[in-house]
Amino acid sequence: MTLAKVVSELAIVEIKGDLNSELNHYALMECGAIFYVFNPNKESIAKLQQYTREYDKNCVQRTIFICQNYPLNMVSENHFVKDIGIAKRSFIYLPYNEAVVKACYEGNVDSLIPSIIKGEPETITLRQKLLEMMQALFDTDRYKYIRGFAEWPRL
Amino acid sequence: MKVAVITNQEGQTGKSVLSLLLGLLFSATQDKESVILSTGDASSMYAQCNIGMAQGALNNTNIYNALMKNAALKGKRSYVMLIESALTIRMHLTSLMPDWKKGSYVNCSR
Repeated sequence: MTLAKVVSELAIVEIKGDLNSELNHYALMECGAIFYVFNPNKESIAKLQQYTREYDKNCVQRTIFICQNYPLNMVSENHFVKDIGIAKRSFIYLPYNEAVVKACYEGNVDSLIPSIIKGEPETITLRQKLLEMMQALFDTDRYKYIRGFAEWPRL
Repeated sequence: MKVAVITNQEGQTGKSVLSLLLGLLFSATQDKESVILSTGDASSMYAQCNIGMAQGALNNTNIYNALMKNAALKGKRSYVMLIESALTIRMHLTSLMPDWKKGSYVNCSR
């Protein structure tokens, strides 16, 4: 089976190791979108800027930059994207969330999903941003494919 | 839609957690199938997600590794072993995870 034969509506391909390796570059070229995950620190941002400058432009153009552990109350989104030199439309952040850290520690990340769907206080900050990610992948100006909160299952 | 998740800081950014959350949430809220693949060792993903405890709406999220099989066709032994482990977990869920973690692989074909 090759990547082209995967028929699921959403196939998330986690790229491990060197981005320039033959297998990883092949996978990147096969994907319709790329999520570049980084942290809000100098080293990570420097590497992101190196990626936008030097990596294959075909890939960079399809990239959405995801900032993990974003300091929500410390820096404005506009200032942040301007500072690191990426377009705001290709930027989504995920704020620091203690429930995620706890779930990773306990090895039950899947248990967060019902909590996110219900909109419980400890995970509500993730809800909107994960929806934005799905919308960034599927929705266009004219066609909305992703169901909003109102249509999510009642748990 | 196929989406690649990358980073330039391996092991520090939470790439696996993001992949899991996005895949599981998409599956649960949109009622569509999502698949999580990896071009490397997916053990961190399996360890973080209690696959055997996934319930109801989460059941249509299959975790297997097509890319590894593709690499296997190219004759890379390390990937062949990983495919077998990924498929083992997919078929038997968490019951075989301890054996798999110890490096004991069970041959199975899809």
